[in-house]
Amino acid sequence: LIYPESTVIREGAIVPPDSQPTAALTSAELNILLALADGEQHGYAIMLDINNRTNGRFRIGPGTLYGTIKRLLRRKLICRGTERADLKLGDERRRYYQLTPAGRLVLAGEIQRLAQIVSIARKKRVFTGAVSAAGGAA
Amino acid sequence: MNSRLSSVALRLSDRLYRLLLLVLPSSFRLEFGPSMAQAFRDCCRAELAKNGIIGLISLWPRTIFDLGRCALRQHLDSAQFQFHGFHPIRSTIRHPGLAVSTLLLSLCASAWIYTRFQSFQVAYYGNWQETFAVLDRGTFFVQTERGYTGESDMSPNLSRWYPGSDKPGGFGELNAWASEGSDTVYPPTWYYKLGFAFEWAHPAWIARPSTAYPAKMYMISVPLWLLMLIFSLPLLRTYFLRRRVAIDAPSGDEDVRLRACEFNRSWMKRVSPTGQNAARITGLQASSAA
Repeated sequence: LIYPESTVIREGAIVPPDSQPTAALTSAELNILLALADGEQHGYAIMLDINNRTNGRFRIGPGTLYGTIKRLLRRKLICRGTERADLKLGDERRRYYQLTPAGRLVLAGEIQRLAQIVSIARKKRVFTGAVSAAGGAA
Repeated sequence: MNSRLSSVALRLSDRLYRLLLLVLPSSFRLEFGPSMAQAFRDCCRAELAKNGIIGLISLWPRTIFDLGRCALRQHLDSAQFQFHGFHPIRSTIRHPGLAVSTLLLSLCASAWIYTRFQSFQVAYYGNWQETFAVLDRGTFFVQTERGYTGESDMSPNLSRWYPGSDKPGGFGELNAWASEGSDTVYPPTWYYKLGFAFEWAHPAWIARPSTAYPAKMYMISVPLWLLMLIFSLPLLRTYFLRRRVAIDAPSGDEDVRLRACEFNRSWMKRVSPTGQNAARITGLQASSAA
């Protein structure tokens, strides 16, 4: 479902998902896409979202965040949104990012892949519990 | 007092982080540097509000690790980008030629200098422990070997550690040079330590196949040199190229480019006392806007 970067850059357009081999998203990519699933967010809000959602188990620094954003932008899974101030954080202007339709598709595919893994683990009795909202096994 | 301290710590952290952003490839820094600095400031504020100065200090190791990893990744990405030949202006690079020439010149020069002192090498006695001890402890080990009592005029047993050093053109010549104009016969301690460092780094066995003792240690150092050549040159080349692309190329997202110029200009103002670079970038910005 994720296309090789070179393909996207060379052709300048997204190739239909079913014509490309699938590859798993990294943890950072998955978490960023999940953070943007609710709507457009700026960098620090994405960091906060990830931190809160995982109860601080997965922390992402500015370097990793923007390095991953760059990759996602290049793959056209997210796009730049408006630039405006976040009144909760002051009057500094911030760049917002939002999920593209292709990004939403890739995210759904990845979640499905993870769900399949959990399902297989259940069948093999490796994992029997429920998954909590914070990401841990209950 | 406490709020003032927090404010100073915040400002210092912000400045230091912006300075550290220099480790990133310029194109990435120009595009995402301002946002990264902004996000880091927000993190600092949150840590200060939550855990005070201790929280801010504890944020730094994570930040440095994060930035280092990001820099490595971005440099590798840039290098990969170049190797795949995506960019049309590859032929405009002149700096790597200079880098290669300098490296070759320095290698040849150092090899020539090295051959002047024929026995200046670590002899491998088939005992790794002993050899590493010499590399690690240098003078101390030599002195211990001969029962050093602290008297500076005692002669170290150099012929034991440097076979052939007593012959003309050997270590003795180097000794004479180092102790020239001095009352002492043997060079000072720093000289031996420096000598051990040189030995470890020089691939001189290539230049001197007649090396009296098989200095097998050099066989470790040569691949290191090669690795350095293989990895440093493309990075150097990519660095210069990406800088040109980020500042000079007329194409691309104009908004991003202008913001990047603005960030670079404000940063340059702080770093460059003469403001020459800032003026150059302001000029570029003006011409781009026009």
